[in-house]
Amino acid sequence: MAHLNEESSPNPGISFVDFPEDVQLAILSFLSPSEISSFCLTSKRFACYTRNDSKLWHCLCDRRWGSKTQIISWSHNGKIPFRLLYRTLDRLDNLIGFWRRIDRFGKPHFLTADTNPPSLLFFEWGPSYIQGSEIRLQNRYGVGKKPFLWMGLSKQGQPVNYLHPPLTIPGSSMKNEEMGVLKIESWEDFDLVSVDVSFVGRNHLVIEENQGFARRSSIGGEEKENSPPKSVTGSSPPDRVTSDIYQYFANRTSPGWERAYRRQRRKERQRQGRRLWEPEHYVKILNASPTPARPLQGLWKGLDNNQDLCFYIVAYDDIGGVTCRRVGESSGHLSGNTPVFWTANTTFIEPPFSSEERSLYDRCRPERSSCSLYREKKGEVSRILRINSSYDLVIPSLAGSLLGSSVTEGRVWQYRDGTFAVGFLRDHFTTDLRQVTVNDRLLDAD
Amino acid sequence: MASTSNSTSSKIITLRSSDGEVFEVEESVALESNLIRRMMEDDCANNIIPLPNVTAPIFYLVIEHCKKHAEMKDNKEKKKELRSQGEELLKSDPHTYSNLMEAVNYLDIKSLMDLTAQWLADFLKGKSPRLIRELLKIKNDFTPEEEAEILERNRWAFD
Repeated sequence: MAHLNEESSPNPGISFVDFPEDVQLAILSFLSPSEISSFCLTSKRFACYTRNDSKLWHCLCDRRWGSKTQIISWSHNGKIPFRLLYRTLDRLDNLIGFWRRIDRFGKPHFLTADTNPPSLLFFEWGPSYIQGSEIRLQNRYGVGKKPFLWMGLSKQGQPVNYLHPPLTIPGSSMKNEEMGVLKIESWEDFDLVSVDVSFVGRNHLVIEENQGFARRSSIGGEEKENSPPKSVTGSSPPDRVTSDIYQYFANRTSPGWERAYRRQRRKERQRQGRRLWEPEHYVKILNASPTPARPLQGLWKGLDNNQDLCFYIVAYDDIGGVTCRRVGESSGHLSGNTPVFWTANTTFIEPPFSSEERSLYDRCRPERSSCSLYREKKGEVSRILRINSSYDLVIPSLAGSLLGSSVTEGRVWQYRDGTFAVGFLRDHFTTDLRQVTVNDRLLDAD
Repeated sequence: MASTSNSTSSKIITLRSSDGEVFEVEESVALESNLIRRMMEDDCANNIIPLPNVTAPIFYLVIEHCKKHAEMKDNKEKKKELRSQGEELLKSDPHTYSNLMEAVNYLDIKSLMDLTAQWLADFLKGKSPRLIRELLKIKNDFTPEEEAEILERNRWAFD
């Protein structure tokens, strides 16, 4: 083994250019965009390489998203330059996860639950698009996922986004199964609404109906920027692209009358200037899962006082406090964000628990009191946190002297399996909370 | 050595490095290498398989990491450990790293290729172009003007 180091100089280095191309690509594929930038500043050769080499950018795309989606489908078989694709996917990647709707101030809430825009969206990778689904709670802690928004790229690399409006024309809506297998090219064929999805900062997005008509504006418009000069021959670009699309559909074997009918009706609708989707704002739910340091953090589900299943978000702030809010579907003027509890002190009470704590637990949890705090069971309480009800925040007039601490005081009982229950002294009402997601995967989804 | 290739449990493959050392390796480990797999499929493997491009010390390293990689599959701690070993090797003995990388490429071992490639990528993180040039022996062929220009152009690449 000794001879190994023989030819090592004090700074031997690694001769990168002597590695075969496959090895170079493998190494570079692990770099982030900013590291690639540094790398391309090392020499003319690599500057040119990182700018133009589609193989390199294909590798970078594959390394980062290859296990989640089909890079080659996104690129329309290489039609979209991989460097552009990387940049686009880098932006879209931030969508993955949960988003909740925020209501702009003063917006009336006359819509019923069925026509409400989704209050909770879950974005995930599809094979060649990103799919946003409405997450709805069902009974028995089940979660329903209804595909709702599709975001892909046209052959020219421009965003193509369609959504399924909550308020659909009877008989025109499509089945969920149909949506799962849709190809980007056929989205506009169904009774979907073309939308613009724009980011306001990283964690706030706006979904707006694309009112200038989808096909012409979003596909035709981009021709100016991105296509090679040869395509601008003959008729004007939008017409050419549109005719391409019709050609595409003409070549397909499925019967076309239904599609034509839908298209016709949509045109009529657009002429009438009818909107199917009002602009909606969503913010990202950061930290949707608990961590060892923040065991209560995340997105949870549980039954409220009316035995309705609700979503709860528990967030830690920077100064060590915890707040819990109910989000989502509940109707009425408080829909959106109802504060549930808060605490400024996150120090848990560890076992052994005092007799007061035990009897408090038994009072709040009569159905569970048979399994005492100490029994070795899955449902065993592992620790307790004192909390304050946000009752007084919701109904400020009550916050006066009438209320003693017993009205607002409550507890979080954390169980061994990581789930927890929230209860208040005032009414002994408790809610069991369960996690909605683990590692970006939905639990109990149908 | 051939006598060990008996039961179904673990067949032993015999390999010889370029400097003449003979290795006996469990089949499951040896088959991580697509090169060896292809050789065995072509039925060249009844005798000792020669590896003319790999020296014994490097082959030791390869086998060691193949075994570790198989062990760590779902073990996050081990994975971290294995990732951090790269930095040590790259700092103390970049020459051996180069040899290891070349051997892994020659033997065509996918899992180790990813691992060793990531080692170097991790090592380059946060380093300036000048330092990267030094580490990777890349010759700077920019004129000062060109360098300034590309610096400016690149600044906007990912805004």
